[in-house]
Amino acid sequence: MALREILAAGMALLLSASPSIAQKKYERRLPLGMEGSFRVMNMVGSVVVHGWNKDTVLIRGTVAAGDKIYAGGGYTGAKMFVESANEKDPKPTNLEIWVPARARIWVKTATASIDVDSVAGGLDLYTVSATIDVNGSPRELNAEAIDGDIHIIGSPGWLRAKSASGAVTLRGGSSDAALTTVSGTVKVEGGPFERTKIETVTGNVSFAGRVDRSGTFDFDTHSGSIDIGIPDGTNATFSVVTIAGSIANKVSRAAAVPGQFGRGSELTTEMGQGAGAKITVRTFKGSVTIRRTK
Amino acid sequence: MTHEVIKHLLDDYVTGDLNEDARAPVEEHVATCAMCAEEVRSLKKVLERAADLPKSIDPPAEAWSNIRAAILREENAVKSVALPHRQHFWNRRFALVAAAAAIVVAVLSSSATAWYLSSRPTPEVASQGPVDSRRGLAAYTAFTIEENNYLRTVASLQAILDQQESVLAPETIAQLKSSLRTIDEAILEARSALARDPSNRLLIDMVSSSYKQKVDLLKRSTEMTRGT
Repeated sequence: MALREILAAGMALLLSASPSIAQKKYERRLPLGMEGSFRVMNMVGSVVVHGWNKDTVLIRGTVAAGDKIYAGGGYTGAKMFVESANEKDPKPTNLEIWVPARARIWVKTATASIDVDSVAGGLDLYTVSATIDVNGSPRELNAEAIDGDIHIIGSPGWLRAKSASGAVTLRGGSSDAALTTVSGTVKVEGGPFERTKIETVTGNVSFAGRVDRSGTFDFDTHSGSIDIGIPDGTNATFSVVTIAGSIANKVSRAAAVPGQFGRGSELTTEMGQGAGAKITVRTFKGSVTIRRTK
Repeated sequence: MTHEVIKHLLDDYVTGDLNEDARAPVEEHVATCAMCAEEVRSLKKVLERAADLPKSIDPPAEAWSNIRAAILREENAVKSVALPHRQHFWNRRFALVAAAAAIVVAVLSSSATAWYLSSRPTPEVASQGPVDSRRGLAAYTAFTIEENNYLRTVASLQAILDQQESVLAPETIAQLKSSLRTIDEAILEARSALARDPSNRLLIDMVSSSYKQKVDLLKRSTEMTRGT
């Protein structure tokens, strides 16, 4: 190989490596009580949070040259945030953070994805347009996005998840869950569920889960379809009302009747021995299907 | 720390919730930045004024007597109409509560609201019986008050969001506008149906629900863009 070619290859290698040269590594430990609170703000990049059984926060990450990470606080509460050298065009900061498992964690991002696992305390997660993934069963989970998806695998005791155009999926259960979107789909499976409210405007809703016999379940859409599958043998009462949507009843022989206000249709029916879980469905013009599952 | 970062820490700075690491640079910046110094002064004033506020506010003395009189009037009117089923008790209760709620709001709210209500056309409910008419009217009246409040809230949140628009990515703005348009279309559709059927409580609930969603989305968006 000619000397010129070797030099050219060397230059190309240096240039291609330059993005990693522009990144610097960051590591910091902070003492934090097992039930302390920790706040994280990172606009671009990623935030991965793991719960562990130590009264310490460990932050590891890569930050763009020129950007700064500020972290500090006391044993009951601490916070960290990334300050970008160029706020008009912030570079990604990728963070991996270990926190006391029972701590209360607050994370806010713009486009940085949020991924949390093994946290049993409280979670408040906010993003503008990234994806939120939660794996585990926090005591409380509040997840909000504008156009990002929210995926939860686990059984948060108290759960609120809201997105506008993003999808919300829950595989697990909850004693008190409220899931809301505008056009994003909502898909729920698993159980058991107790108090559950699912609300969309045009987003389709799919619920297939075990329901607590004393549970209340409210489904509301404007035009989104609603598909509810309840395990065979469950005692449940359904009350379905639509203004212009269709109702497909696959749990009993009851037929929908014209609505009491002279428009739309209504269906009141039971499965199992009746009573039990109270399921209320309300839609303006979405189609509704209620069915049994194995 | 830059001005952009510090302005989001001023709340904590004023309430004394900043840790030492962050407090010093904020203090240093406030000493040299007129805008932040003014913001700190303003936040301190708000805190002082909030501290002076009473822990609770009692309604005017005549409020309860007005509500009671309205309930009695309504009860007497309802007694004169036969009620064939027990469930009507709950419907009647709903109507009374709605009427009472409407009166409470009317008594306690500004004269502008009273003028707004009196200037609205009475909905057509001629095809129904007298009790249903009154019930529908009460629910619809309560709804129009609620609607007016929603519209005011939406307008102020929208104005805040418009100011913050520059901090959001164009694709996020497009997505947000699309979501707001989706809710508006739902409101329009359900509201048109309600205009044709003003005593339909299901429609009232649906429109209210869509307004709530819109307010919630605007609130979330303004909250999220604060500090992004």
